[in-house]
Amino acid sequence: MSVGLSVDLLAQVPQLVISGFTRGCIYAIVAVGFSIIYNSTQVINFAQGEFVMIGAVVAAVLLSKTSLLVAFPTAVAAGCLAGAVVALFVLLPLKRASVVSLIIITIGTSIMFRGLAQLLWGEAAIPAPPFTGVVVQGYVEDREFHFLGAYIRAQELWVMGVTALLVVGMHIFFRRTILGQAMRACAINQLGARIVGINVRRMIMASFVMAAGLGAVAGVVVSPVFYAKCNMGTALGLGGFCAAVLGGLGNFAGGVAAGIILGIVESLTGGLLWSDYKDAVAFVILLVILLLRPEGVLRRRAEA
Amino acid sequence: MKDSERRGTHTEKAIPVRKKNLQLLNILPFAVFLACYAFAPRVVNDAQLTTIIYIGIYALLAVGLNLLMGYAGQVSLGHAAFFGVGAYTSGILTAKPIANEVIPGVSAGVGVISAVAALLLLTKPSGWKLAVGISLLVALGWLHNLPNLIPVLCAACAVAVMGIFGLMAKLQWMRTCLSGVVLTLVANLSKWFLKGTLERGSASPWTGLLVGVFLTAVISYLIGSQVLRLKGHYLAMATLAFGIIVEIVFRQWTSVTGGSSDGIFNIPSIQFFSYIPGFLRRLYEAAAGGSVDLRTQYYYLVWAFVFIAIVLAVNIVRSRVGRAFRAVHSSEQAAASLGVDTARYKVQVFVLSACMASVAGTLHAHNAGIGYIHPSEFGFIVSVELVVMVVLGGMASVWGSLFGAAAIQTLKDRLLDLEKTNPEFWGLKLQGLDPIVFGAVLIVVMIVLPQGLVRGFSDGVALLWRSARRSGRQQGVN
Amino acid sequence: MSDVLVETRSVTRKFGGLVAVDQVDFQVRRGQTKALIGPNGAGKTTLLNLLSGLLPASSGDILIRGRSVVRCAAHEIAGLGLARTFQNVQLFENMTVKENVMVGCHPWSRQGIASGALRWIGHWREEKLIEEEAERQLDFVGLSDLADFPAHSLPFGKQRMLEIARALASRPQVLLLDEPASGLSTRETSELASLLRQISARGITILLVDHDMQFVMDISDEVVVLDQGKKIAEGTPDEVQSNPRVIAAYLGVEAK
Ligand SMILES: Nc1ncnc2c1ncn2[C@@H]1O[C@H](COP(=O)(O)OP(=O)(O)O)[C@@H](O)[C@H]1O
Ligand SMILES: [Mg+2]
Repeated sequence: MSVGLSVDLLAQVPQLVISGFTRGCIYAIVAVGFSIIYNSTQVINFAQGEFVMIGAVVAAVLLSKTSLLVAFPTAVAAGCLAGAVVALFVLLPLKRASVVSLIIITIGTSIMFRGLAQLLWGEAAIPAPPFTGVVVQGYVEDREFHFLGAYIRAQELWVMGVTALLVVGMHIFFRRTILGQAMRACAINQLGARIVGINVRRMIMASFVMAAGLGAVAGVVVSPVFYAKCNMGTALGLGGFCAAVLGGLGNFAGGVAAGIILGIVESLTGGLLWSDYKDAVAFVILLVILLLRPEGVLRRRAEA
Repeated sequence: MKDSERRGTHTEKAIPVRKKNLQLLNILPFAVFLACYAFAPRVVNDAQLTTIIYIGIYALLAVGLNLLMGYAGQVSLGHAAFFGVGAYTSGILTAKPIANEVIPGVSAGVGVISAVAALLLLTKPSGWKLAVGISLLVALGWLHNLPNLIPVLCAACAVAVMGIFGLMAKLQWMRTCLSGVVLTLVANLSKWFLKGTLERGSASPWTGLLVGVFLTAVISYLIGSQVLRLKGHYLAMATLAFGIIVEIVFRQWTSVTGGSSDGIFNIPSIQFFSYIPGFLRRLYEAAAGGSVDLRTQYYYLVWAFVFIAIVLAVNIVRSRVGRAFRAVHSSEQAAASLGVDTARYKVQVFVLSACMASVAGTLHAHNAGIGYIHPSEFGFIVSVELVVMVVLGGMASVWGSLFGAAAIQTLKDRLLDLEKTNPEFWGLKLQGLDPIVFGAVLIVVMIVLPQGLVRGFSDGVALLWRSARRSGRQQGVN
Repeated sequence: MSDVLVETRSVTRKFGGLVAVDQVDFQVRRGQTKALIGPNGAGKTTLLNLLSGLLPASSGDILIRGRSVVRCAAHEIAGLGLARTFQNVQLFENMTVKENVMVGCHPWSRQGIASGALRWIGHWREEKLIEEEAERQLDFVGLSDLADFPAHSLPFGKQRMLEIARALASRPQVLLLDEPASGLSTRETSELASLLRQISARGITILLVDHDMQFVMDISDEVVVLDQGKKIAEGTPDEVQSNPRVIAAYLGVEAK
């Protein structure tokens, strides 16, 4: 009996890895968003997960009515707008704002976004049709592929593909374009950047909008996989933060790798060990990482 | 020349903190508080009383959190977790039956352990002294079982015995006498606990309160000693993660907490009139203008705790340790270089504020007439609400926290009233406005008045007053 | 010997690849006023941070009153009778001037949180001592009439004085001063010099870092010169001033 159970459990592993990988992609994108904003402002944006939520919810609402071609840009635009709003609030305090007040401002915007989404679209999960599906009796059903003893849905391939595209795009953006290099300059030395004539406030605004846009894209592609819900942001945001810390704040490649690993670990521990507490896994990992490696994280920053 | 001018105006603008009339100014708010405390139940109606009770519970939380955030400068986004630990501990102990066989053992164990702890704390004895102390303790316990000894006599005996013991063991006699008092107290408490628990088949709310505080202290010590090494954003994220983990435990550990579908219900309300001396009871009755019902009793109890918390907080802030807290807030390096053990003080204030939250949690669980708790009352959003209260009232302002709690609680009530009318706005049902309003309040307060409403307001008044006086003086010259 | 209050034994501190303090040996004897000089970035502040326990040393040993303190936390070192000021003044800005100095009394006061919360007798007794000490120190540096102003409202020169008063309130045996004269006007600097002489006359040992050669040579008995983390000279002010290595490394740069 127990042997049969464990075999059953083991058989689930590939499936769990795949769903974990999908979730990990979202963490990776959120982690990159954290790093972009952290680099330009030294602010941890607590509203980061809400960008994904906005993208997902707006896309889910629109996808059931219109086509992807309308839903996608609208959802991403909504996310960017949200990013601009957060940036505005972060930039507004006239006196040099303390860490606590910046934390509180971003938390304030985060719960405001969540409340707004709840007001507009309710608390329930919103189902969304997959991007590339086949219509079966009026429903759009996702294609599924069999792969190493697991089913992988086309939408999950979409998530992975888009993540890869975004990460490569970000890399090119920061290395090859003027705007990207200006943002990197701000990250390295704000005063110097200002002297060279870079508008730092505009760069901060740009980094928030960009991080938000990334998050929203992630939200759009993932909304058919997870159910889009107005309270999905907190967990995604914290998972992304965890990945960002694990990979080294400000380090894109590290964040991406850490995000995917985190997603898989979370899915495996949740699926195999404590299914009741699977929501808590990411938070426990976050706590453990913060406690085991705080000096590591901080020291690297101090010595840089 | 120009430089010195600028410096001159610099100091002139600053307002010195006056010391001379400080005494009166210190006592005045307490007097007003006590007056309001006594007479509030006479003038308010039932719904308002409920609001006031909730304000009290949240004020207790906010005052504690302000010690941590406002004074010691350590952010906590998981404070509601401790609120929940207090509430659940007490709720579970009182609402669920306890087997008769285990009660005497538990009460004896609790009695002995706490007595030994008190003894150790007070006399710091070496091994043999401790052994003598414990045997004395056993003797005292025997003394207590003599049925017709009155408690005062017992206490006197204990003090005398401990005093003599102290002299013999060459300990400080004052401390050992004090430990005699503590021992009597502990023995009485454990006897009382035993009797009460056997009678009702479950623990009394007061036991729940103590156990809750104890458990919270242990948990917050374990968490705080690790987490408080972090700073700024990292600390905020860690406390946030802790808070969410605790909330998930409340939701998922259904066999103990009832989970999110059931929660814990039928929690008895907390009694306190039957325990206080007759003259105090008559005083309360005189203030309330008649016999005091359960709800009013509950009100008196909650606000008595608020009063105690405020007194303690005000005292701590203006003491050696309180100054150390504030020093840690400003510059940990400078504080450490002046001999302040920053790590220890941070943990201390964390545990203290967690214990205050735990007390608030117990009170909340035993809410007269409701007696029901649910995980969502201790979630992330509640932690944020607490932060809003502290920020709104003003960081590092004990009385401000009271104000912040009152403001937010009233706002919540208004929103609830509004929702009852089913308002619509462009065809949109306005339900669940709290988060939006709280978010907006947070942002606006942080951007416009980072000092909090009270400080901002008083600064504004001071500014107006000074400019008015200046213009008045100029007119006089003209 | 008990005569030596502070001693370092080839103490080293690295930041990544950069060796900020490189195998430095020196001693400060009781009652001395010793100066630590060197060009910008020589590692003077880092050395003070090592002595006061704010930074751990990478290797080497530090002894204060004969006790090795490399494993000690900063507050324990303060408990041994070492106090300091900071190059970029670090006041407790959210407190009044007097409260700042009262925090300085921390090492020799004992009352805990319970005593403060419940106002036991010990609290009142000690609070009185602390206040008296704070007033005495404020009087000493000439800030008594500003005692109840918020610390951040003081002009810069007075902030430096306040920091010294705060350090003195801890009743130190050694006082470390990191560039106490930087940012002061000429008059303020000469006031500071006379203040330091009075402190020294009280029997407090002083180790100070500064750029102002005139000031340093004026008040110190002995000078240690650091350059790029290494000690390059030590001796009386006159000896050091005529040392060619020092002239090359430090005075040469100044003269340029
Ligand atoms: N926290 C730190 N991280 C990295 N490098 C540091 C740090 N503190 C000081 N340094 C480096 O150590 C060297 C010595 O600095 P410092 O002790 O401040 O010099 P000084 O006080 O003599 O001007 C400098 O090159 C400085 O850049
Ligand atoms: Mg320096």
